[in-house]
Amino acid sequence: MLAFTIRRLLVSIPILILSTFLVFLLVAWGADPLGDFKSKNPPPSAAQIAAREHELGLDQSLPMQYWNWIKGVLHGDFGPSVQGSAFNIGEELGRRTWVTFRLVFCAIIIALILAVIVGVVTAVRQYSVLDYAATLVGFFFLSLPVFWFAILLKIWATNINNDFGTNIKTLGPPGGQWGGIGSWAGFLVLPTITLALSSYATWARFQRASMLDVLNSDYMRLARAKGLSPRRVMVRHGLRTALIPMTTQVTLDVAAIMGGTVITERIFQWQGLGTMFINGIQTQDTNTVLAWLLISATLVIVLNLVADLLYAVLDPRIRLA
Amino acid sequence: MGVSRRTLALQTGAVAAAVALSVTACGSSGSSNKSGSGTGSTSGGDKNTVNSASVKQGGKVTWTIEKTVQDWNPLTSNGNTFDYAQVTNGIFPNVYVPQPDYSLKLNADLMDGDPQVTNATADQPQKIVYKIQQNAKWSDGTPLNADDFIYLWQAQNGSNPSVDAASTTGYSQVESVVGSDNGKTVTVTFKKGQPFSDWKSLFTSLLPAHIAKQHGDVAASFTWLDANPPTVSAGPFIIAPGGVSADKSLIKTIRNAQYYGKAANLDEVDFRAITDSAQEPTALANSEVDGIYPQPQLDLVNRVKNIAGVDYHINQGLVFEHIDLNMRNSAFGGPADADQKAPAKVALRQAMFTAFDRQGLVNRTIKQFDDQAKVLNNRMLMPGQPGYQDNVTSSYPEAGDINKAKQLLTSAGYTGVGSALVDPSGKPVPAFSMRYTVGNQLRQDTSNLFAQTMKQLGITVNVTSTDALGKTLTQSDAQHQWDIIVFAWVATPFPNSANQPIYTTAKQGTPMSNYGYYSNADVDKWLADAATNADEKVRESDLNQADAQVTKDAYTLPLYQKPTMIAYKNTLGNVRDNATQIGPTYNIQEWGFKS
Repeated sequence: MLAFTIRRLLVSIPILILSTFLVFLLVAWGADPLGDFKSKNPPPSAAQIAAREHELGLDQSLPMQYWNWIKGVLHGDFGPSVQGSAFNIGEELGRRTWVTFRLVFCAIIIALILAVIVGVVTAVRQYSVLDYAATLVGFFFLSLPVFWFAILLKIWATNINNDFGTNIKTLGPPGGQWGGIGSWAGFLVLPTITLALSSYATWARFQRASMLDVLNSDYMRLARAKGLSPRRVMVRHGLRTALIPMTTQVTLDVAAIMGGTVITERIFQWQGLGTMFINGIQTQDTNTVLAWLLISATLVIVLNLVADLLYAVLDPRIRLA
Repeated sequence: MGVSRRTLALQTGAVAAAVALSVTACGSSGSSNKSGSGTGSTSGGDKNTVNSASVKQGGKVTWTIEKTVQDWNPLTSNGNTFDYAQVTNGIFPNVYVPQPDYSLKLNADLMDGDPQVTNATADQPQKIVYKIQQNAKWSDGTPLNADDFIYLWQAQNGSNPSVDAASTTGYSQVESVVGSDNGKTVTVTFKKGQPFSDWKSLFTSLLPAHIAKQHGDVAASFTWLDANPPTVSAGPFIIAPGGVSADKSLIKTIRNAQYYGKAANLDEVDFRAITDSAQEPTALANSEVDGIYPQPQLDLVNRVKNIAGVDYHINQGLVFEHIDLNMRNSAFGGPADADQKAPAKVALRQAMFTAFDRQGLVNRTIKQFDDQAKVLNNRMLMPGQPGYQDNVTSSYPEAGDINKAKQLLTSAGYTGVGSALVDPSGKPVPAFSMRYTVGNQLRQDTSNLFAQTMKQLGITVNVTSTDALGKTLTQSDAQHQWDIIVFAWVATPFPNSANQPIYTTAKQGTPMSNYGYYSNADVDKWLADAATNADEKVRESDLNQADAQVTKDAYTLPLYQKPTMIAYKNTLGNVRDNATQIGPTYNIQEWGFKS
C-alpha cells in the first residue's frame, strides 16, 4: 500500500503542474491584471505602469511568469497580488483555509450523521410512510438551488430574530473569530444548514441504496439465522459494510462541497477560500486564482487517494499494490 | 476620478475654486428622498442638512463598506479606493471637506481661517499661505504641522517615480512648501507661470510625517503607510487597539480622545465589509449593520423599502454614463492629421446623437426606481454645481428626433438614409463596433437601444462586450478596439482641471483620458484657461464654452447621472449621502443617536 500511495502522489505532481499551467494561461489571456489601474483618471504614467508591471512580473513572457510562480511556490511564496501591498497570498491562504475547512467540516458532520440515520432507517423500513416521507424530503433538498435556499434561510432567520429576539447571523464571523459559544452558533447555523442539506439529500439516498444491498445479502441472512440480535446484525454486520461505499462517496464529495462554499461564502460573507477565489477573479489577480486552484486541486487529488486507501482498509478483499 | 469605479481620487488635482464655498445648496431638487417603511418620515430639503438632528453622546454604529480593507494610505494607487476612504476619513484630516452639495468647506478644526491666496501675475507665482490651528496634533501628541504638508507634497509631486502616488495633479505644479511660525504656517508657492485654480484639492488625507520618517525615505514610507493600519490619528476617530480583524472585514474605530476639535458623538464606529451588495439589505434588516451605501438596483431598492425602521435616500451622483465616438475612425474623423471638422463627418456624428432617445433610455432603466432620474445635458458640470447649464438639448433633443437626424444626413449629401447609408463620396458607411463592459446589463441595454436607433438611419452598429475596459479604451491590442463605446466618468467637485485631460488634444498613443482622440483648438484653450484662471466666473464660462463646443462637434453624448443610495437606521442623526468622492463619512464626528 505504501508503494501505491507513493506512486499516486508522484502521479499527482504533473497533474497539479498541468492544471495550474492551464489556469494560469486562461487567467493571463482572459484579463489584464492592471486593467483597473490603467483605467484610472488621471491615467497613470507609462513609467508608473511599467513599474507596476515589473513589480508584478508582468513584463516577462508568460512561460517565465509561470516558471517564477512555480519557483516561488516551492519556497512558500505565492507571488505578489494586485489586491494591495498588504495582501499576502500565502498568509491569506493559511487563514482562509481554516475558515473554509471548519465550515465544511461542520456541514459534513451534520450531513453525514443525518444521512446515515435516515438512510439506514428508510432502508430497514422500505416502502413505509417514513421511507416515502424521507424520500420526498430528500428530493426536495436535492432540487433546491443552493443560492436561493440560502437567501430564503437568511430572510427566515431575520424574521425569527425580530420576532423572538434570537441572534442568528446572516454574515460570517469577522476575522474568522469564534467569539463565545452563542456567537459561534449564530454565525455558523445558516451556512452550515445550507451546505449540509444538499449533501445530506444525496448521501441519504446513497446510504439507503447501499443498506438495501447489504440487507438482502446472504451473510446477513446467515447472521440472522445464527440467532444474533437484530441490533447486532444491523450495526455490526449491516451498517459497517454499507458504510464502505458511503465513505468513498463522502470523501470524493468533499471537493464538491468545497466548490459549493464559493456560493455559500459569498452569500453569508465568510472570508474564506471561496471569497478569495471570487475576489481573485474580479480583480484579475492571477496569483490569487492560481493559489486557490493549487489548494483545490491538491485537495481533490489527496481526497481521491484517501478514498482509495480507505476502500482498501475497510474492505479486506481489496488489496492495493 | 476613475472609469466606472468608485475610486476615491481624493487628491485628484482639479479642485474647483469655482465650486468651492460659494455654491448654494441645491436641496432636494434633483434628488428623490423617500422614507423607508419603518418610520414614514421623509428627510427632504437641503442636501447638506438632510437628517440633521440633535444627538446624544455615546453609542456604537456599524457601517457597511464593500471591500475588505487592504490598503491604508488613501493617496496610493491601490489605497485610492472609495471604501477604504470611508474608514480613513475620520483619521486623516483634509484641509477642505467636500460637502453633499459639491461645495467645499474649510476644516475649521484643523485650519485657523481660510488660506491666504496670492494670485499669479506675470512676474509672481501663485502663493497660498495656510495657518494650522495651534492645538492641532496627532493622537500621540506630535503637533500636526508643516512637516505633514511637506511630506504630502514630496510624495505626490511626481519627482520621484518610485513613489506609488495615485496622482500628482496640482502638486507637480508646486515649487516649494515651506513651514514657519514653529511649523504652524505653511507657505505653498507654485511654479512661475503654472498657477493651479483647483488648489483646494490639495492637502487631503494628511499623513503623519513623523511616523513616515521612521520607515525609510518618502517612497518606502509612503508604501509602509499603505500596508499598515494607522496607529495615530489627527481626526475624530482612531483605530482601536487590535481593531483590525484578521480578515480585514471588520475595522473598529473609537473616539480619538486626543482630538483637538469638537469630539465625536459616537464612542465607536465599526466598518463591516460586505463584498456582495445584494446581501446588504438583509444585514441591515438583521441589525448586523446600521447603514449601507450600495449602488442602487431595482430589487435592492425594493428590499430596502420593506425594512422597518430604516430611512433611505436616492440622489443623483457624480458618476455619469455617456456614449463616445472614436474620432480615429475614418467615418467620424480619421488619422491623427485628419480634419475632424469635415462637414460630412460632423453631420454623421451629429445625426447619430440627434436620433438617440435618451429620455426613453432613462425611462426604461434607472427611472424604474428613481422617479427623479433625468437626462444629463452637460458633461463638465453636474446639476447643482455652480455654472451648470444645459448645453446639449438644443442640438440633441432628450427624446431623440429621427426625422431631424435623417435631414442632417440628407443635407450633408448622404444617401441610403434609413436603409444602407452611403457617404457623399459614394462609399458605404462602414459598420461600427460598439463596446460595453461585460456583465453590465444597463450598458448592454444602452448599446442595444443605440444600435436599434442607428438602424433606422441606415447605420449598422455591432454591439459586443469587453472584458477589460481599460485595455479597450486605450485600444491596447487588436481584440480591444472600438468605434463607439459606453462607459462612465466620475465627475468631481473640482471640474476646472479634471476635464482637461478628457477633452484636450492628445498625441497618438498617449491619449491621457481623451480616449477617442477628440481635437478642437478652442476647447484646448478654454480648458487650459479653466485650470489656471483665478476668476471663478471666467472658469465657469470656459467650461461651458468647451462643453457646448464638444456638443456641437458631437464627440460624446452625456446620458444620465447614476443614482446613489444611502439607507440607515432611523434612530441615527446627521448621517446623510455625500455623492462626492469622500462619501457619507465626511461628517462622521457628527453622527449619533437621536436624543
